[in-house]
Amino acid sequence: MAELELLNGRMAHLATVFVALLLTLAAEGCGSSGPSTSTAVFGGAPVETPRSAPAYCRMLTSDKALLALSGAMTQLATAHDDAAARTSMRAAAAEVSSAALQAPLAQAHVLVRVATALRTLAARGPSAAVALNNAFTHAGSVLGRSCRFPVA
Amino acid sequence: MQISRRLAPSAVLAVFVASLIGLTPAHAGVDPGLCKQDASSSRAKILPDFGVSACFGGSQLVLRDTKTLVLNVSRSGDVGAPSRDEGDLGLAADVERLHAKGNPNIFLPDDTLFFPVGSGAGTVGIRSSSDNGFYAIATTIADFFPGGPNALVGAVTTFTTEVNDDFDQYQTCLTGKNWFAQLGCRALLIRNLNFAVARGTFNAVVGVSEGTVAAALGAILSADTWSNWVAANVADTDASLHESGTIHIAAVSAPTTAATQAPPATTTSTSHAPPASTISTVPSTTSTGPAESSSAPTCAAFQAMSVSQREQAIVVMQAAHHDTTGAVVAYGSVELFCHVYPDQTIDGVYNGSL
Repeated sequence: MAELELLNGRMAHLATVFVALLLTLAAEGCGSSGPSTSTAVFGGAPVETPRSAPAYCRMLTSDKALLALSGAMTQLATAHDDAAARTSMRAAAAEVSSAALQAPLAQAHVLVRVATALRTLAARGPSAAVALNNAFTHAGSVLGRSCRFPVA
Repeated sequence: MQISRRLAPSAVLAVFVASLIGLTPAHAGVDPGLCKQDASSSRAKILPDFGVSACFGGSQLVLRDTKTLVLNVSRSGDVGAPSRDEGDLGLAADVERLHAKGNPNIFLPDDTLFFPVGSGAGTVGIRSSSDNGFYAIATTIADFFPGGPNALVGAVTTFTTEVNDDFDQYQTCLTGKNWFAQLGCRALLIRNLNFAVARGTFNAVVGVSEGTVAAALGAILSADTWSNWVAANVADTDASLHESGTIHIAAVSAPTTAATQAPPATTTSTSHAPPASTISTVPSTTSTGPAESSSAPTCAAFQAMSVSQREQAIVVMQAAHHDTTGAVVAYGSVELFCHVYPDQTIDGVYNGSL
């Protein structure tokens, strides 16, 4: 009798786990191959590019320092001397430069401009934000054609 | 035994959910407790899903903003300008009221509005205010200044206005761009917010440290504040322009003559004294004795009058008491007075002992 009760308990536990698994799969779209919905900024467009896109595009979407840039900017806004934030920005600049090395000339040009603006922001703080915004806006427009980044 | 063991977690969950529902403070639709008068009148059509708490007492419609949203009210027909009982005296509410620049239609969380309703038909509507994004930011900033000293209200209002504009610009910047281009928008937002801080609206206020301002800036730049701001700007959901956001009041079928009848000279009210905040606008001087009081209508008669009749009664009462206060102020005072003392004559507003 005790064994039967134990068996019933295990069956119930397994059923619970199975239902939870189904719910999880349903919530995640039944697979791991679906597109990521992460964004680089609050309220922004998804950070993704098709697998068929050029390698430098995929370098950018997997660039951890670039994806952490928004957080680094916030740190710099609240503490202008934050060394970690400046280091993070310089790392993003370096990785953008690496992507530029693999990009065609037109795309490389705009990426180098972004990298330079990032280094300037790291050195001067938020006062260099307008130049950075211009560089990102122009680069986003140029890269969008070949990288096929989704638009918000 | 086995079944009860399996059901136990569900039972606990059910009790937890039930307790959450029980704790939910928001109450919308008809709330008879808001009315001091008999709330059984069938003239007003208040749908159960009306956005906020509402009660109609025959000659007065009472609304209480039970949401966390700033609303706008509108009225038409034989519905007079509302008097207001401010429920939230905190810094964020003060900032919002200053920002609204005395807009009589603004309806803040915890506010109660008393609309005088005449014998004709009319409507009172509510809808979400465009100030909700501003209010979401003000609420975030106010958390850093517990107690909300009065000296801060002007500075926080200026700062909140600027932050709200910066958020607007950021949202515009994001539109139509891919994630790479949007990184520049973020940089621009941060620069703008730094400028807002550097302009020194806070520094002008003694006692606000740089650390506090930096902490407030961090909170403003958080994902939570942004999502609250976005949600507030699109939150026309429950209290919106749809049909349940409007209360229709039918005209009285047989015109009443109570408004023109002379009230009794004395009253036998045993009501308790109203709270100080409720009678803060009641003039306390210029009383000239009971002889003049006898000519004023009772609150019941007053509330049965049309809006224009009420205004006339107030003008007559003010003249009898040599009261040079503005008619609008007196109107609000009488409305509040009658809400608390429905069985008094309206010139009881001049009787400081009530």
